[in-house]
Amino acid sequence: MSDSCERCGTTAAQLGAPGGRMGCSDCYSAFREELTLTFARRAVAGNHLGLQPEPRTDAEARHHDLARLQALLNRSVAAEDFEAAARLRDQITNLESWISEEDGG
Amino acid sequence: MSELLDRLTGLVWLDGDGPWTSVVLHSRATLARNIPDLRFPGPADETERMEVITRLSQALQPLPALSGATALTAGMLCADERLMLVESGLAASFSDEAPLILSPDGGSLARLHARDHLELVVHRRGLDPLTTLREVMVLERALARSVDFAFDDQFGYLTSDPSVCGPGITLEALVHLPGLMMSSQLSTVLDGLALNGVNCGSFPGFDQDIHGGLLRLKSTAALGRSEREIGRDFTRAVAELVQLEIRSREERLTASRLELVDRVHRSLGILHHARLLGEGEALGHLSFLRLGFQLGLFRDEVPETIDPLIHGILSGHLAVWARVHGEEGEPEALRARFLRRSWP
Repeated sequence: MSDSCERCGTTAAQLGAPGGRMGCSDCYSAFREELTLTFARRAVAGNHLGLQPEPRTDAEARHHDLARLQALLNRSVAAEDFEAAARLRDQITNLESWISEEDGG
Repeated sequence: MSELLDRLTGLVWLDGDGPWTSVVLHSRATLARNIPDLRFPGPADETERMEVITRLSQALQPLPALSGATALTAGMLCADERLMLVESGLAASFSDEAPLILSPDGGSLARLHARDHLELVVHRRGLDPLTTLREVMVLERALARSVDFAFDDQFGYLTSDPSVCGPGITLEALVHLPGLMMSSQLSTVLDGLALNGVNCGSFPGFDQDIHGGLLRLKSTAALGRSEREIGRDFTRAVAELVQLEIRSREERLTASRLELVDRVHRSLGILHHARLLGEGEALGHLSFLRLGFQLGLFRDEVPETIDPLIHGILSGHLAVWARVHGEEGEPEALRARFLRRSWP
């Protein structure tokens, strides 16, 4: 776990204080573990599900699709909807193998 | 200065028709975005601040929704005018010096380098969060063609407040709940809303206190939910609240009509004749007046547009009104005078 963000100097203590704020977009990478735990404690599904940046390439579009499927999978598991989770896991595996084939080719 | 007063009291979402305006004054969607290669406003230096303002101003200029928009910067405004912006819900705090770009009808707004690099805000009259949400997303998609926003697969759009990362969306509704307040059900109902992800706060311009059942509802943490889900859940929660409030008003009218009519007309009398009025007291009486108007208890005794008066009695609006009209006196005296002059 990081003590501070290398780019803006925001510390874990500052972030953990009431009303603590991120200092830059790199803070999210620096404090990823802490944030993931915080969201999990608040029973928040830990992956973004919603609008994404417009993909500039096909590869980027597939990467976004994968992130979205992963978010839906996390949500299904949290809701104990194991039938949907199994279906999503299959879709993720298919998409991952497609991506790795493309990368290999 | 009078221009700003006219501008803020003539905002399109402050007056007129809309869905369920008897209970919901207006709905608002705020969408926060940041530029990845620049520090967020908290730690940013002046060079970064100017870079953000320049880049985003250029990108915002061609957007049709902001065509003919007015740019308001801190240097153009005095302290009272800045307070007016807070009271209208257009600025987050009095010390907020972020430039605002306000559409001609005041329905759409871009706030630059405030809590985040960019906050896009859309207001609509009445209960209409889905329209505000759709319109703010249209603005963002148009802007995203020329600006890259900070994004992460896990945390979504990255915001300075981590509790709103994800879609970066906050939905709000300003509501008027005198029926629930009079029947002492308000706190129970608000506790129920909190369980459904809707928080309650005071009216803009007030620190903590809730007067006259006027309060602000706000959607909470959004990560892991899509914009559509947030909009649907918030709309459903507020719509249920509207039904509870309407039922409560009807029950009150049936069970103790004379008492209610008496209370409403007492408020009318005080607002007509008082020479000194504090903010909280005036807001309480305006709340009864609004209730009476919505229940059809008046003919021509009150102006058709009560909602702009609710903003008009707040300190910043009042100070600017007094200066524009050459009025002098203590705020309590000015407030009473402002209201007396507002009657038909």
